[in-house]
Amino acid sequence: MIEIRGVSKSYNNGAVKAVDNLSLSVRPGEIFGFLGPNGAGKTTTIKMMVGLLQSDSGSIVINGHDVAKEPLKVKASISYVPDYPEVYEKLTGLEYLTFLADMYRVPQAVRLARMKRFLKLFDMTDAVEDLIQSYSHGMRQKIVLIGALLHEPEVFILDEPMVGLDPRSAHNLKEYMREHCDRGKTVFFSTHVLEVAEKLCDRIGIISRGRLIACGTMAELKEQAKSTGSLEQIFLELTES
Amino acid sequence: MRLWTLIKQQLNVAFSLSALRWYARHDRKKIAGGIAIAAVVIASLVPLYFSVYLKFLEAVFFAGLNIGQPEILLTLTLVFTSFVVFFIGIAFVMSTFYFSRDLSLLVPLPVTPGEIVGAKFAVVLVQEYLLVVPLLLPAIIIYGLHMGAGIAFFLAGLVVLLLVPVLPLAVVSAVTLLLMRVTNLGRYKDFLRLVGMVLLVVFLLGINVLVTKLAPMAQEEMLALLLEEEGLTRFIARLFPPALLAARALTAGGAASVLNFLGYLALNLAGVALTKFLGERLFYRGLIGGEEVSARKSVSLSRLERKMAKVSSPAAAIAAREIKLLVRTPIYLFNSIGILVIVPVALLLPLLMGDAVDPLLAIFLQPGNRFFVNLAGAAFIAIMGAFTPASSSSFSREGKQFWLSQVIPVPPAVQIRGKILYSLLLCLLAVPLVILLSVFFTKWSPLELLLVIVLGLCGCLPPVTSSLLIDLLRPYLDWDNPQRAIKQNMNVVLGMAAAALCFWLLYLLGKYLYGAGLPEYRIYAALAIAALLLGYIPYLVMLQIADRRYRDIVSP
Ligand SMILES: Nc1ncnc2c1ncn2[C@@H]1O[C@H](COP(=O)(O)OP(=O)(O)O)[C@@H](O)[C@H]1O
Ligand SMILES: [Mg+2]
Repeated sequence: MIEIRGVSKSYNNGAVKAVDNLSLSVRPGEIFGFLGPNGAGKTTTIKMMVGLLQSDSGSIVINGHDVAKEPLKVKASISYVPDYPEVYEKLTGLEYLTFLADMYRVPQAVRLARMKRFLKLFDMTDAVEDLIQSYSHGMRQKIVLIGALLHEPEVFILDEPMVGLDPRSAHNLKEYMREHCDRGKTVFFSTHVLEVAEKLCDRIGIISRGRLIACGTMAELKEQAKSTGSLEQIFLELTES
Repeated sequence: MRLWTLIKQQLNVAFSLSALRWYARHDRKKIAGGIAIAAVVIASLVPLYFSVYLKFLEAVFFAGLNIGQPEILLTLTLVFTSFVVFFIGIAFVMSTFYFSRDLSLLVPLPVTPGEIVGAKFAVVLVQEYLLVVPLLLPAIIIYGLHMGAGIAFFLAGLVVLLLVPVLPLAVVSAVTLLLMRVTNLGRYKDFLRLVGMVLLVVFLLGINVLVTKLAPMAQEEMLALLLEEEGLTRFIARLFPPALLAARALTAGGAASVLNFLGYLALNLAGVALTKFLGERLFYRGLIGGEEVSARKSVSLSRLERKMAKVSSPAAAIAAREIKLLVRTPIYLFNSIGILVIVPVALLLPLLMGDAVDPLLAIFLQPGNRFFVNLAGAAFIAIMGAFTPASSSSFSREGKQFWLSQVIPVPPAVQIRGKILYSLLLCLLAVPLVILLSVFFTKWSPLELLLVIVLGLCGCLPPVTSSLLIDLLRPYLDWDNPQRAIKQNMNVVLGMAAAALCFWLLYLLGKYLYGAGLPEYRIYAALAIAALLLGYIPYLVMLQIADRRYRDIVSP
């Protein structure tokens, strides 16, 4: 579970206000979709959640630990898949995975089972002994995904995960997210693709120009927007002006 | 004239001139910071330079003067500088010609491969001047002043100075162009190229040795030869014959000077022409396909499982990651380990030259000098450690992947320990060299050898931790080309300056203790403890700031 309270962040000494007094909470067992147009502040928010950026004000608590005060405890219980997968080009996929398993101290038997399962799920077994340098964009994303799943995180945070994945992998990922949440864990992902959010998420937060302008289940959002249409219409209504 | 435009553009990129101009106009603070850093670097190197190098040059001059061959100073520095240019040039040329990212921009332009090679050559040349000037200029000035030479000598000296790096670089370029063409063979390319580089050094040194050995002579003959007019000069110049032309151009006087100078000039021009010729024909054929890496096909499940099941502690896993990345990135490999490969070969050279050097060695290795020989051995290990940019670019090399180090639940202190571990492992590579040294020259007893190695590794710690600290304070992460992380990283220079400072302090301590008449074993112990302490301080500082740095650094 995630508790974000009054978080703000600006770039260039306040010239660009990327996130503006944002508050939201995500409960265990939930898939939360973080929806917004390009430049809305999704990546900035996520980077603050995983400890890559410091917020100017406000607090973020994940699994009961404050990100600013107990960063290591937070990091041990989450995992993060960035929007652009920058990974060590000169390691093989397998070396990258074992490296991460060592970092998260995943026990031997567990890592073996999970690596085999996820490599198969994302169709990466054949490529796993090649250098990541030779991977396509989508393969890189998949190896980062697998690495992020090895320690079965309590909270799984993904930035635009569907971009660049082939349809089958995207499907498998969605299935896995569901399964993950059914075990009482949490998924938080950002997207600007409406269909993904609409089909997959238990709750959706819509962010525009750094502000959370709506948050809730599909039904609640429809009510909030006083509209009966699709998420697209709600989205357009809310983010306009 | 396209060539000239290209050269200007390349120099601009290599030295970030446009960026500097932009900062000069918009962000004076940044420029001031840069100047301050440069001042610190220079200030920390100056004492060493003046008290060791310049004094050495003076001593050589007067030694030469005593046997009536003052020009020996010029020959010696010319040969030495040519060799330095040559060795440093191997990694420089390789990285600038073949591993810079701007190649993918340059190649589609309507310029010939020869022109690209020419422009890249100019970049390397200018970088080499940064070494050549401090090494050679004082020798020319010392000789000129003591000999009361006129303005013509200094002018000629300046021209020769400018020519000195040209020929060695041309040789390196030509051979590199050939090597890259021949080894452009896909899968084992990188490995082949490293082997090729070593063979290249061995081969060129081999030629030297062969030339030297052509005329075997007895001890007396040799002595007679050395005492002849120009004897010593000719003897030294056998290592790099063109240096003889340069030396004579400066010292012979009259028509002989002019002729020698013209000969030297012609050799240099020929070298450049050869590079251009080979560049035109071979450059693209060695380059294209360079990005391709082999994809292994067959995957055996049982082998996969074995690999998956390998568990290590975080610090060990980080050290292993650093080593893998270093070994598999050619540009890092050439820069960090290349020197460890080249030095032993250079060490073998005097051995192969046999008789000539033996008397000199015998003097150095006299029983009374044992203490200094041991310290020199330890210093050798420590200096080798300081010379690999492995730790001073350790954070910078993570580059855009630094986010991973920030999100994993491994305390920064542990990650830093992994980096120290890996840096010290690289320093261990100097140990076989020391053993080689012992077998051939110094004949250390096992106990002495152990002493030298332990003391040397202690001496490696201050450069490792201080340069890691520097890189942690100001990591250079936003690069898109691995060569920038290591070559255009001020931290590498700063790290060496910090190492020089540490060594200087240790030297002062050793000198003081020796002067105080302490027994030798106590001096060894004191130096080891001092080195460990000097290395421990930056480590403590890192522990203090690590958490904050890992939180605050914004990875690109
Ligand atoms: N490093 C940065 N420096 C300055 N401005 C930035 C930086 N990163 C993002 N921004 C700005 O912050 C705002 C939010 O960006 P981001 O969080 O990346 O949006 P999203 O991920 O929703 O597309 C944008 O206006 C963007 O231009
Ligand atoms: Mg984004």
